Amino acid sequence: MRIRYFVLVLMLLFAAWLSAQNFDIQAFSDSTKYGWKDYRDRNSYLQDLEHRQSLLQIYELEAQPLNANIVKSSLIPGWGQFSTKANTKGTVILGTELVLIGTSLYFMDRSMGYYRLYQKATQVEDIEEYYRDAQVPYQYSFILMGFAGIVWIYNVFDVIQSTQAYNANLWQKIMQRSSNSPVQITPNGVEVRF
Amino acid sequence: MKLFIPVVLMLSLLVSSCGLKRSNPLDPLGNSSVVAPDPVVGITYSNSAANQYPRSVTLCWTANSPANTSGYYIYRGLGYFSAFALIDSVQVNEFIHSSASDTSVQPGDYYYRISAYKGYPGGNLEGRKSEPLFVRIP
Repeated sequence: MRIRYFVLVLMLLFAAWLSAQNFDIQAFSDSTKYGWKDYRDRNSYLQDLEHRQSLLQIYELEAQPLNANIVKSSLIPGWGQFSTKANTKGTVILGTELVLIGTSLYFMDRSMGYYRLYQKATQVEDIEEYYRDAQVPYQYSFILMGFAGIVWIYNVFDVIQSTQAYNANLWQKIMQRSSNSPVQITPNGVEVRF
Repeated sequence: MKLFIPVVLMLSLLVSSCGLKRSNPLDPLGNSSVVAPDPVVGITYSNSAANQYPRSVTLCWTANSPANTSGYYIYRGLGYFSAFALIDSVQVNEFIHSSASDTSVQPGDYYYRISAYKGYPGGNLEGRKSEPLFVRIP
């Protein structure tokens, strides 16, 4: 039994030896194999890569997280837009929501006032009048709440687009900043180019 | 336009689906066992003479069916469009408003309104008030 295992292991080792290639130091150190002209070109590529990585780190620090903005705008409409510096849009959305919800609550309160009178009424004309007076603002309240819901859905949809646009614009700004300015803020600190 | 149609449809559905519940136990439209009393019609009156005391006004009207009426409320006001105050309730289709029991019955112009009511476990359901009837007490 042991001999059988030993022979099997020997055969596997032999097969591995047959399929193995010799380590080619020339091919390994060939700086042109990825399209570089020489080692200087490779060094330049590496520097550029490191530079881009540092910019990417800055981008990750300054970029707006999409999920956080969605949560913000879901809680308070317009908050996510304010975070992406879309202040006008944020103000319009927040203002619209406040007006719609406020008006809706006003009509609901008015409706409930008449509804309480309706519940206490004992005269046919009063019953009909108070019910009608309660029903109309109640429907207005629902219509306005529906509009507020539509604005809220649009707000969540918009914050996704705003955040994506902000982040895309941010990357362009970081690239521009890094190419123009001699003084740069990097994840490691302030870098001054002479 | 593509967005407008679904929005309008959604709002229409929302508005049509929302309605206040008719929770008043005396509401005839919310409770099938409640019947609104018929309006009071055929009201006539007679009053006391100028030198007669006590002064009085006698109101008569067509009696409603007992199926929807348990009694009648009598209101009085000083003008056609003025506020009307409840002065009494009766079980029959006649009411005598006399200065012997009510000192406010004085010579002058008055308006009377009458409504029928029906008693239910939730209270008395009052029907529509009649048109104001002009009465002059000499």
